[in-house]
Amino acid sequence: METDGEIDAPESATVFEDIPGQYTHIYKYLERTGPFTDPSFEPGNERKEFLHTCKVLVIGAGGLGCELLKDLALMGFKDIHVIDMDTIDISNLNRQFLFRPADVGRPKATVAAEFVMKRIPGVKVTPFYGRIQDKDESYYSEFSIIICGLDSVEARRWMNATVVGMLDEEDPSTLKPMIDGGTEGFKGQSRVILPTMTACYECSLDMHTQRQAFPICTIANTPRLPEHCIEWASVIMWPKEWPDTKLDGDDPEHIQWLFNMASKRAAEFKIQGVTWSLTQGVVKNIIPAIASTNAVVAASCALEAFKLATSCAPTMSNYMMYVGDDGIYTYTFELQRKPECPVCGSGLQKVQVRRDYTLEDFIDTLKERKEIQLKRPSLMAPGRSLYMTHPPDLEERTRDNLVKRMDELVEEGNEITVTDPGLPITLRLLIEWE
Amino acid sequence: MSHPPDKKQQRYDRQLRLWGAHGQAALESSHVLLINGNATGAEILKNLVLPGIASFTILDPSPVLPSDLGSNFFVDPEDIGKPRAKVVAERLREMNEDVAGEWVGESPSTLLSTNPSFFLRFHLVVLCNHNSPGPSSSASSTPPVGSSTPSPSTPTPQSTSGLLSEKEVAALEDLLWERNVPLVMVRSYGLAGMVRVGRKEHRVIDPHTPTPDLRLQTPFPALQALVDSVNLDALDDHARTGVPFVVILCKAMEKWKKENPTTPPTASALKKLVLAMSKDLNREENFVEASGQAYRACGKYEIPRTARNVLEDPECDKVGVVGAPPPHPFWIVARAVRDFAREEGAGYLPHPGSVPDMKADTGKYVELATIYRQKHLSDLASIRTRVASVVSQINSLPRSTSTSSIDSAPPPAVGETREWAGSVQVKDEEIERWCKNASQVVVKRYKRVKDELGEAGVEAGEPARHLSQPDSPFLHYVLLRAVDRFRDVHHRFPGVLADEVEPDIRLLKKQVQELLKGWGSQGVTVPDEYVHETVRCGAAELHAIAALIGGIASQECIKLITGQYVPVVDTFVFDGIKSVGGVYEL
Repeated sequence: METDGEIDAPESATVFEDIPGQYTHIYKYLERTGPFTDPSFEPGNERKEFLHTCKVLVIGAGGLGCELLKDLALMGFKDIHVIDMDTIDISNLNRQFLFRPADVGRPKATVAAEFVMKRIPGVKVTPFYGRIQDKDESYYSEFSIIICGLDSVEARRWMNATVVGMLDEEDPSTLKPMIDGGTEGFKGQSRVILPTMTACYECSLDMHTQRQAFPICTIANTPRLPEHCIEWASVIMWPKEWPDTKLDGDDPEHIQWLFNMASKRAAEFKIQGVTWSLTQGVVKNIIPAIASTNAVVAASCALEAFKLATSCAPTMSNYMMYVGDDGIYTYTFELQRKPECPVCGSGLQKVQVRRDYTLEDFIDTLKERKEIQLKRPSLMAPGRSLYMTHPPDLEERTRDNLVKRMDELVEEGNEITVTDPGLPITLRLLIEWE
Repeated sequence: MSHPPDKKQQRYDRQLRLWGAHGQAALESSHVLLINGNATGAEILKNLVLPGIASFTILDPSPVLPSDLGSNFFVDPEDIGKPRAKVVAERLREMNEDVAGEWVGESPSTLLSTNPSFFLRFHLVVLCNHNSPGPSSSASSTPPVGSSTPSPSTPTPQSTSGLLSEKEVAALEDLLWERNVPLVMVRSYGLAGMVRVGRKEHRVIDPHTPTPDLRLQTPFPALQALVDSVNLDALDDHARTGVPFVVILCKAMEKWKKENPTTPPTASALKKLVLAMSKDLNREENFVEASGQAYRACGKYEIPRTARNVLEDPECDKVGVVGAPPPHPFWIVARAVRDFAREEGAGYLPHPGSVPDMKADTGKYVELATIYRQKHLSDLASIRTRVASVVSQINSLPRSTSTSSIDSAPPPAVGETREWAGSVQVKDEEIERWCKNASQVVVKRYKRVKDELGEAGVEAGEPARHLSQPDSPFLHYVLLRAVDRFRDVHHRFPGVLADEVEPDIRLLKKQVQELLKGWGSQGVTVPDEYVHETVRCGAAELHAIAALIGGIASQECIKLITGQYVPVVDTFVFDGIKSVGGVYEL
């Protein structure tokens, strides 16, 4: 390791700073090499130029997104894009610091972009108010790094599959690092995904605990908790009473109705604790969120983006968890790739099936598997559809198969292809009898 | 509770779900001092202003420099030359109109010697002893613009005027220590950073680490009556599936005792017995659940260790003693709880009143929940009586002749009831919170920085132990300490000038060696590449590190202010080169 402290001669002019001296802090790292830098690291203007001109994409302009835009802009990224489909809600203001009460109702991406550009000289932030699915590969391939501040597993899976899918092994420029952050209360995590070089999001899907769903029979017959009463109101009573109105967790009248129904049921069963706030929390599946945790996780993501863009220090390998509720606990470790990963690996997984299971039983077992997490899967055997959720006429034609035994439908060694409308992924399952 | 939340509740909804109205009230009555409004300090305050502290004050003699534009989000180009404290305070306030913000443009060092009482006006003090990277090569010709700095000695980019020396830090900590005001020391330096918490005594009633309290070993009379009212053999198949596991386990214990009067069951033996009691494990999920919980019924009940430490704390013994200073309400309740457990609880703490969900029919579950709830309420009533009697006893004691030093403490935040205000009072709300969380209560006591700075305080083996692990983040702690000594000796930070990296590596190495020698840590070293990397950064404050360390520090502040969740003991160090963190008790 070199320790001779080789220092470049001072750069002659400030070509990249809108205000001379603006980048004093980060330039310390770009004008000098160090013992931990990548061997290819050459201090100087080339590094600065790449950092300042490369295009980076921030996905989500919420709690993490606001922090990410600030962090990236202050770390020297000057061409930042941001996608978000949401508008600003009053409950965002306890942490999404680029928004003010007067902004409530406006698109997050637009307001966040305006704010950062106003505050930091020389930075361009380009907002897109829409869904990630509105954009295709031609859009995503323009970016050097993609940083996700998302709040749903589905969106991350979609983004991960898209980024990994863009990789052409012949063309290194198609390898897009994806950095992903997430938080809940005092806890969070950040990770770096280098498609096919590190584990991808899909490789480690089983790490993410799914929301605990209450069994329908508990909700219907033996409620014990206030949550059971609220679920009864929203899952059973709402569709019955308002078949044509979609339940909106942000509509106070909807929540009020559910709260009233849940309270009645709770009183009937002598269950305590149904409140308005709990009702909204259960219906919207609200996850507690605070500014400080978002700051920690977003900063970690931005730090890795800076290191990736400049090679001034090694990139994190490859996952850091942060737990702040009992002392401070961090753990950085390397998540391993899964060879059979449906996104970045071979995709062919062996599954053991009981011969006497019906197709419906089999689909239920697939839905329960944490490493797959399917919602409405369609299944194809070689040459025929087993069960298709879409379109409706095909669903009708394949519905009869649901009650048939597996050994009537397929043979051992058959490959079943599984697709799900929510995911850009095809699973390949190799059938083995249990 | 039965109406839609008001505007404020909506705004704070996502955090109220963590620390509730009690934690929020504590935040909303807290006054925070930040020493140095650099990037790290501004990030910390950002994360405290957003959730709604009452007020903050920034103490910072520096003007806004061009380099602040590339690290601190709360300045913009037109602010260059203006007092940084003022600019940052104003911009932070824009984020939350309910928060008041003030600024003082004086040198913390001067203020500490001329007006130390200034520092006693706050509930929490955050010290961001800042770094000054000096001019980058490209900016060396740009002097700060403007002349509105409040300090007579206009800082230059190399100035370290906002800094406190090691001795001054120790003096500040002494000052706060006596009033039990927490001091959070934060540092972002290049790719490294640290957060250190210091407080004489930090009491946590609600750390949010609940464990179920089911009383399976020794059911109290009402629970026993419920168990007796169930005859498993007489129930039909459907009714059997509705029996809560608590009842099943009590039944299993009775059965075991009848068959093995002298030997208590092991968890696995009881598990087996429970499974054997089921008629059909496929149907009777509650029996399966009971078998999984069997370990809870085995062994002798013991008060959890941290709670036991609180009850056995000398502060508990002092409550009500003639001549002792008036106790904090926390200790009065702790004493009442201890006496309750010893005298009437048969070793048990007051019941928290909650019960986890379990597979059961509604009627039996609600009956069970009600029984626990009533047990809680009767325990609570007993604690209330005990507290009242202790309080009246204390208030009847002759007053200590010297006025308690706590009289001049800052106005109490909600989480921190006034320690002495004429007569002792304990809020009923505090007694309730205590009883709901009695098995979780925690008291943390910290060491003073000066004990470590005096070198004798560090156990000789400790740094060596941390350093013996390759690439330990603790290396950065040693280096940060060495950097401060470097600064005290050379009046600048290592590597701030482009042509002095090589010599500075040697000079910093020397400081590291002396530091380790002072600690008595012979035979360990800091690898050269870490020294080199520290000099390389030239005291830069990278925004990503400032935001990360600032975020962690602000979480600690929230825990210290609300008295909920558990703050770190005592130092967190982050290595941004490898993105690895570590916690060290110094």
